[in-house]
Amino acid sequence: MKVKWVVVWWTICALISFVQNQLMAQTSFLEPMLILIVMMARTTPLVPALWYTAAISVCTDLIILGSQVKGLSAMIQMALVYCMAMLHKHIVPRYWDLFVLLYFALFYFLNYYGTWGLSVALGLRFDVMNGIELLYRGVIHTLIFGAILMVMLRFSKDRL
Amino acid sequence: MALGFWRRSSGGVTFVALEFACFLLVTYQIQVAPHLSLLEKMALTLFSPIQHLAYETSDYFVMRMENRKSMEALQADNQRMADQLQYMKQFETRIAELESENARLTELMQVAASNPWTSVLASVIGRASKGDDAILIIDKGSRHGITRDMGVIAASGVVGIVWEVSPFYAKIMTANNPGTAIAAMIQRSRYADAYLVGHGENKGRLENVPGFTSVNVADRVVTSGLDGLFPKGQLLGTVLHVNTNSQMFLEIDVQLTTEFAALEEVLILLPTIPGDAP
Repeated sequence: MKVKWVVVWWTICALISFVQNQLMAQTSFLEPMLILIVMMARTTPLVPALWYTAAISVCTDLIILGSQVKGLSAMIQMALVYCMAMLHKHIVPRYWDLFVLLYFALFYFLNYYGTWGLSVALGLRFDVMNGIELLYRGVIHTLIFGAILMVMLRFSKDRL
Repeated sequence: MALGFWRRSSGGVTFVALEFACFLLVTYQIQVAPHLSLLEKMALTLFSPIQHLAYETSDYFVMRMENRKSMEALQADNQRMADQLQYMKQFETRIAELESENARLTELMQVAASNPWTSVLASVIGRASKGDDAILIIDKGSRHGITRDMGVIAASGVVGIVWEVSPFYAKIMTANNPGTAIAAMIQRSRYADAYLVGHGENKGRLENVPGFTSVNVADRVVTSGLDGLFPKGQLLGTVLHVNTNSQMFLEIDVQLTTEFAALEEVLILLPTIPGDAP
């Protein structure tokens, strides 16, 4: 994914998140940034992917979310992107898109629990979510991600 | 070799570097004012030195202005207090003068009350002397009933005789003036046919005292009243020295009790019968 597309998608995602924050009193149901990050990391080399992840996450925190600690989720998301790249490089060279779909579901839960754990480790406040709600949100996000991935594979020859 | 190492581990190094950067960002937010947003913290970090400088500068000028105002107020207070102090000093001097005057007048009134003759109080407003001729000027004259050749006394004793009179002022020839002659007697021996002549410098000489008269040093000399200027018994002075070498009359030096240089108020004695003064 080229830089200009990352910026375009990030702008769209930022707008979505912003509208959600304004309308739903800072409780975002959809987290499009996660979809964007994994989608970007799917086709981007490791180093640019890490930079994009850091930029997307920190910028989103700075612009949209008001009360949370900035950079906390970026640490988790960069670690997950790094793991994803290492898996792609050393373990899963084939069936990559299928793996990405599965990894996204894992990505969503790991992002949640990783942020929680890091918040606890640093003594920060963290809004704990109900397990069923977390599962529901993870399924919804995974379905959206899968749909977008299918559309992309069908119409864009594997490159956005 | 370094290039190969970078190619192999650039992803890991970038990952560690970005994680560290984010960690610094997180810890910065935790350590510096956790209730502020990151943008507020960054703005605070960036602009606080400028704000501090601006505050210090404005505070400096405000302090200068306040100090100047305080200084002006202090100077005004200082001036006012200096004026007040000056006034108090003048007031204190005036009070002391009044106390002194009060004491003198009280003493003089006691003298006047004890004196059988009526008297007029007068203030000494001038004095003149040429050699042994001593003159006092008082603020009472003929308009106040003063006439020539009236006797003048003070609390300490006889002062002199009225010499010249104008409507509002009068001149007094003091008892130490060589031109003055006052009928006197020695209190102890009661010889009353003598008279005291001024001899300058608070001294007088008792004349016309026969050689057989008993006179001792320190005997009191008082007025005899025979001249009609003073009532009998007014203190003139004390015998200072008696010269017995003369054949017929004694030469008696008298130390006058009145301090003429320190007189401020005097009593002019009016004759008991108006127009009776010689």
